[in-house]
Amino acid sequence: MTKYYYHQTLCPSIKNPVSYNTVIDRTKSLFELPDIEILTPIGELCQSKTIEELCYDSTNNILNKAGTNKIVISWSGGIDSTLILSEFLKVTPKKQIVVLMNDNSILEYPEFYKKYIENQLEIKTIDFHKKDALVESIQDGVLVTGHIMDNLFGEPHNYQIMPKEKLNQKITEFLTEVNEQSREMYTKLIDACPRKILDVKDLFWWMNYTLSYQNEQLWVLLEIEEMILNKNLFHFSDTKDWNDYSVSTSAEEKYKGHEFNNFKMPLKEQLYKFTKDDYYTQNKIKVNSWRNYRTPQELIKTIPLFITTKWERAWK
Amino acid sequence: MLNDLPNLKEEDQKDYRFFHLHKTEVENYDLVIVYHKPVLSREKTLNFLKLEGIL
Repeated sequence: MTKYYYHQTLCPSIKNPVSYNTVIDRTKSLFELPDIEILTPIGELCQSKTIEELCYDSTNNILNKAGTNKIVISWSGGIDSTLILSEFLKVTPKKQIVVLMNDNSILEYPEFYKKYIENQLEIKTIDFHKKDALVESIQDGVLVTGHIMDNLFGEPHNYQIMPKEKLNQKITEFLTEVNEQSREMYTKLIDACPRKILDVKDLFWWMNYTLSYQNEQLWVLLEIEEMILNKNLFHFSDTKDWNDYSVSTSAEEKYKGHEFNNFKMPLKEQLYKFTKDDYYTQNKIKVNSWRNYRTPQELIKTIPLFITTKWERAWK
Repeated sequence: MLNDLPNLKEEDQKDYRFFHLHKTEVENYDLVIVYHKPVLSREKTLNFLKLEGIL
């Protein structure tokens, strides 16, 4: 019997209070989807590694698997991809690194571009209306992305629009305000978390972490048939240790208070060790992912029907 | 259900099973999940997702 990592019509969607297409429930508590296999299990409650240790391990793991191939890093100028690039710059010969970027990357972090990339690293320009650069990147290299970080650290879209009273609301109170069917579903999901979900901030992290992770994990693979996960495509934080960190660390630690510039502060603090950039650390906020520059029509064109566990893909 | 999805033809609507999709009842943080039957064609699914603003 064929099993799938992704199937557009077998999997449901969520429309409210978040919008997730093709929901793959990694807890298997919410949906019965026997045909869908989970790629990376949810983390365990433990004394997890530090961000510094996690970054070091991910960098070395990818370097070991890449061998002499180029390390192609998709750099948006945002927190995740800048941290990843900085970690590779610590231990990788510059001639082995290729930066996949466009003008928007420079706009998002011009100082980093000037100091560490311009005239120092090989650059490949990416046009998100085409897939050429992504295909080229794996001809003599492996592609490294910062996807999954959002899933590990919270639900940025809702964090930005929710009032602080809602973010801080106790989960017991939150559940009394939703309808009975919603309460039943939320409770199933909450009960599946290895640690106690205390407030709404934690709940929205848990939803993004459990329900949207695999979809995000497969994004490039859905478009580029030549891509194979953990062979020529690596999501930097898609490891058991990062997952353990995500589950073992409260949402409040990942996003203190309700000032959005605090979101992902543990990652920014790790990046600061490299850049010593106080302004970026204190003020940089998460912005919409660069791939969302595509129009809905362009997105529809590239969305396939399924990926099997043998990495067979179909678009019709 | 027709009132909720005015752009979807009636014969297509029966292909979907909705878990709570009455928009008038969807307030604040109620959870709205849309299930799709696997027999649906890709075209119908994409069309539905587009009409619903999911894509």
